[in-house]
Amino acid sequence: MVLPETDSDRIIIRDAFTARLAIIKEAFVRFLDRCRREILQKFEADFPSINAREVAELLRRLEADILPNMIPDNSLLGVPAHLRAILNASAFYRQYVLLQHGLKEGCKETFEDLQKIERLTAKALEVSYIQRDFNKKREGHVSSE
Amino acid sequence: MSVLSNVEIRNRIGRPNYKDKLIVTPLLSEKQIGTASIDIRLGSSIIVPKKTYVESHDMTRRKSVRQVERKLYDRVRLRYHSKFILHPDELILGVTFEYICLPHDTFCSVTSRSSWGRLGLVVATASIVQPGFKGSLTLELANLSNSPVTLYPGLLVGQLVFYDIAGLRLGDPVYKGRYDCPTEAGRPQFYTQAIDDEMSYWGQEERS
Repeated sequence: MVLPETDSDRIIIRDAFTARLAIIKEAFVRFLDRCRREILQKFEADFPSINAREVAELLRRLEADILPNMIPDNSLLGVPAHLRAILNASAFYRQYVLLQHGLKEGCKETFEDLQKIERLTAKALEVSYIQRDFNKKREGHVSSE
Repeated sequence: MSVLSNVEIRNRIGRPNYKDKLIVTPLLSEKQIGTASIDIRLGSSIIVPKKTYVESHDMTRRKSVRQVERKLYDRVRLRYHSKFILHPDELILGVTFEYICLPHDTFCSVTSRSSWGRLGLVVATASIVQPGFKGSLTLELANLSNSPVTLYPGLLVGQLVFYDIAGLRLGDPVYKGRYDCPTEAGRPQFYTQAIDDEMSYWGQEERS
């Protein structure tokens, strides 16, 4: 499917992609393999494991249209979520939304829901990074006083 | 209708159920919660209106609305710790750093913080937020002073005052507005709700 539906070139784009789908898929898999090799070479380590409780908490927030940016810890401020937890929760939730929509609704609703997840994810990545940086600087400031 | 105190604000933030929880996230400091308000920060997304040569923006004319919505604004992403100068008599649209969810029994208003207000910076003119709203708030930042004002994302520029609403229960229909979980500064959007359809009636276009 090519969105938005109002795009006058969508049929041409769809046909071009359909005709070359096998080549595009193969190129994409090669690209992902190359990314994986280069990242592993650069960081020389496996990715750290993901805390399932964090991801589950962020999924609960996404389900309620709430920013997936922090993990409650019985304090007012909470703990800023790790970027990898946010990305994983977002990817899981995207899959869930796609499965829920299936073919029962039009492309528009699916597209809007996916856009909403992307908006929430991008904002969560931004504010959790800033919150962590702010906390780090403040702790440094407090300890140096 | 009564203003929520510090204690009641904390109670509503502490509710366990996401469906009736007050959310203002992230709070970077507990000091943001005042006696009866929460201080809010400027986010990184802003919209700057362009100078135009049109005679006026007549929002009863759909053509004019389309021009305003598509051509009048530049969207800008501010870097943290980088300044933005707001010149005298200039209006920009900003966004709150925080993401806000109001439960069914709470609505809030947005106001300037007094010190910024005395400097001439007004942060909100469309200041009522309905129960059920979810998203970051668009702030209308105007410099009413004679001197430029320097802004940075993250600065505490406004405050939210919360009110209790009697008569609405959990599950009752709440805010279903034109902006669905926004996280960036939003342009004005006319004619996206049924009630806006009457605007053209009041203008001159339908009469001619």
